Amino acid sequence: MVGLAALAVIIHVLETAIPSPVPGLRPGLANVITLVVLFRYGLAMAAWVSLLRVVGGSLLIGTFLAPAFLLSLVGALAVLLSLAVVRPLLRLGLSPIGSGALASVAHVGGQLLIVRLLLIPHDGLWLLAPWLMIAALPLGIFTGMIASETLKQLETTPKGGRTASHATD
Amino acid sequence: MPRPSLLDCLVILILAASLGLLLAMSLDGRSGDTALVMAEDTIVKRINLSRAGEYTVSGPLGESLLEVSNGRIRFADAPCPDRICLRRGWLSQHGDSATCIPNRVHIRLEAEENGYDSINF
Repeated sequence: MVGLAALAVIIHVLETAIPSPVPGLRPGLANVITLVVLFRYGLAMAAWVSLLRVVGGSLLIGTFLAPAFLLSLVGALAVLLSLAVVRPLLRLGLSPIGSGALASVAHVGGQLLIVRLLLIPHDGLWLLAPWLMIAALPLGIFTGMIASETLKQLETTPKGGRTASHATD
Repeated sequence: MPRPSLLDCLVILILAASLGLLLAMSLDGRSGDTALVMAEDTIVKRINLSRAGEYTVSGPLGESLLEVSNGRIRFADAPCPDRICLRRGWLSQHGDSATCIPNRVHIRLEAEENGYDSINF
């Protein structure tokens, strides 16, 4: 599990290096790991991995306890909350694609909420909300598709990993 | 290429529909700011800046003309000698104000309790 969290941290850090045309808009590739863990090991593990990712990633980028960390944390919590809500649907055939779409929109929604409450206390912020969330939807579907493909590849691998040393993770 | 399930499509459709609704709502009913107009120390008008229009306020020298467009407000005409109020131009930000001392007219965009625009670290 620590190995997956470490992987998520690496993706998280690498992703901050990718320039984005719109500030604050990122593909959210680190959430691929959250989705993979959710579908393979359950919600509790997904929560651990994504929170470890937020703390570990922010320590490496240097934003620990800064506003960016707060945004990351709230985003991760919003994602986990949304995934917890749709958890019963997983059994009915909801795949990482639908979950990813929902999680991505929830991520942006949670962040906007905390920005409105703490950082930019002006209602004008809500004019930005639909645009950011509409941008988040295809990005979430994209993330979900990657997670879905990853899961398919992992199915041929036993849960402990390829080698014995991974079994202790 | 992974294919979405039926439930996936349903979830995505619901999300897209609600976001479309949200967008329509935010484009339609923009909550306009309001301008406070004072003449002779009393509030005479609260003007909603989301609708364009012209307003007159009377003072000791005559009528000051206020013009509203695109969420902004300005003094369009005034009977005062220096016309400093006209030179103040358009007011669009919360807390902006313009005052015509000779005609004793003051306009101010109402600010929220939080007086800052944003915080950065």
